[in-house]
Amino acid sequence: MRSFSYAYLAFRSVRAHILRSILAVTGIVIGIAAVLIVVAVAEGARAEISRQIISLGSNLLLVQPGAQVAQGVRQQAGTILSLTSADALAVAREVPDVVIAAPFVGEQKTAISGDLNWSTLVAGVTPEFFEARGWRIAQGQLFNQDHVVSAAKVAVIGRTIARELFRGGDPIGRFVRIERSSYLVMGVLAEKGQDFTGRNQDDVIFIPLSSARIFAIGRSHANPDTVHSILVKTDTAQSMAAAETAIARVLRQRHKIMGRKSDDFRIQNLIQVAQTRDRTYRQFTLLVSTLAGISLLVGGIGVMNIMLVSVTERINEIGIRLAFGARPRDIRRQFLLEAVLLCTIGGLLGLISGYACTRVVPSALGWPIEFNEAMALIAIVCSSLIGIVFGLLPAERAARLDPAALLRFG
Amino acid sequence: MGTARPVLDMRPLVTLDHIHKQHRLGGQTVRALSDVCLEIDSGEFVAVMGPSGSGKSTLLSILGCLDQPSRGHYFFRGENVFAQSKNRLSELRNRRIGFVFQNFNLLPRLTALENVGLPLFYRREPLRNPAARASAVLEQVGLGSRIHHMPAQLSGGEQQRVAIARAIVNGPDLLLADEPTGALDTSTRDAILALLGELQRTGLTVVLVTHDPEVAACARRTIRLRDGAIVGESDATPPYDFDRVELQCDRSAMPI
Repeated sequence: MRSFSYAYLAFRSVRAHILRSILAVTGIVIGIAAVLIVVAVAEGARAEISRQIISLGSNLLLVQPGAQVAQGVRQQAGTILSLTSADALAVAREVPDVVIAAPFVGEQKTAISGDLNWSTLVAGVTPEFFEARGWRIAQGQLFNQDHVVSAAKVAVIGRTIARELFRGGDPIGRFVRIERSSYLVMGVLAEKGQDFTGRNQDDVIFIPLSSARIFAIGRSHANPDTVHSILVKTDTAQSMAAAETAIARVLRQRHKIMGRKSDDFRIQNLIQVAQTRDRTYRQFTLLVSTLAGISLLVGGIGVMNIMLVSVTERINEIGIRLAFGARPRDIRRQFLLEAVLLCTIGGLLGLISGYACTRVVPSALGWPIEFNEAMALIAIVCSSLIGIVFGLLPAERAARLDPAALLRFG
Repeated sequence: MGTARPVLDMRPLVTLDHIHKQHRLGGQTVRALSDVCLEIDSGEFVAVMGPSGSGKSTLLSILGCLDQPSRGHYFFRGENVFAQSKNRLSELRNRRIGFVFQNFNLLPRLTALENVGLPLFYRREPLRNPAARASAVLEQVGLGSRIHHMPAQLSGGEQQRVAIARAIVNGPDLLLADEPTGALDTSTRDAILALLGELQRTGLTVVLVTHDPEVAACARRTIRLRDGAIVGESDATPPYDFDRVELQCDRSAMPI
């Protein structure tokens, strides 16, 4: 009952100086909103990254051809086509930890269906590739080894292709034309979103490796067996490092690279790449959250400032209250509660504006956003705590006022 | 008239025992009270007079437990006041002492009723219905119809009535009035004095600081201060001669 009366007292006081109260809490409003937005964006990005890591597939190594050296300048990876599907077979056969070694060729091509066309990545793979990535089919089915052996003109497409070339209609059993050949669409992959490099993993057409060689992508004249990369899956995460060394050894042997000569290929641990990215992102998030937190701190100082002014202004009121029986602790409680109320109101307003922003930002900027009730609760609790921390000094000052000095008798 | 509260305690209500008080003003020590000894019995009406700077205010703030003496003892109903905790002093101010000020000192954002309720808000044992008590006391001082007005909507006399109601709402023993009529015109002044006289007759002890000899004349006992010391005390009228107070104060009917 008494606490309720104090809350009412604080409410009246906040309402009495409404403009000043609003100005006092502006800092808190902005601070809470800023923290909420930063955390929501960060959470959204984190969720996205962990989805990417899952869609990457587990225990994967990516073997890519090395860079060509032209007049002492190293070109980008893949400028020499040093890898072959025979290399993939050798790796799978000779390295005990390797479960799958899936060769991959890919090129940007224009795909046509009816009167629609779409420029996309056309990839030639074997069924093991899907197995390594752990990708699931959403509609229809994947092509199998028979399709690869017979160089069948069949395709498994990503969601984006289904949308762009077939306008959301059922693509199964329809044809997609690449270069001069038509491919029967036999499956649509489940949606996966962007990979960690930002590439849309649904914007792809998979055809059998053999078909790609013969009809779509063509072969290198120097070595008709070349591939653009080999995706290697090991049986456990622990065996990845050992597998990496073993693969390098096998490939060096096959490519006849002796002694100190450098590799003509490159092996990457994809999960590690993604995790490094995730770590960097986390550090960045921490930095930005800290900045937002500092703005909250500044907001708290603003409230403290206004409360100190308020105490000075209300010396007479405090004196009257003391003269009629208020204990110093009653005065302290009154001013503390006022600061907490101010900050909580600020927190609520910040929550509302922050939430409003998280509704607008994703559609405006295309950022994924994660917003949940726990964040709202933490925002409110935090603003109340700020009220306590920054209300203590003004409240203490009010409670310490000397009643005799306040009421100057005539 | 009025139900005088039974005075079981035969000790004086207030005893000041060799009180000294020094103020420190910018490094300089100013002697405000020196060696003041004073006894006030329950039910007395005492006026304190003296020129500005004679220590009247300091005396009143010590009597009101707002200020500590530098030396000496203050006994309130036998209780050594300044040996007590700050919380006990707050309680004394809340329950035993009421203040009335020259400039009323009402809280401007509270209604008359809420202003009167202020001491009830800080009462250690809260009343079941504080609003009823506050409005009953406002009725008693003649403001029954204006309890929901803000101070700014009330005249000076009405504001002082609210202030008096606030001072007596917890049924104190001692009412300390600091120039309570200083800001009022003559007829309002007399009405307020009549109200104080009436309260005193119900057993309340009133100590009133004033410059105005006519106001002081309402009191049976006048204490004169000069340079922080009591220089004279007049007990002009025989004790408990209420008629004289009435004559002096009831020159006009109370404008209720």
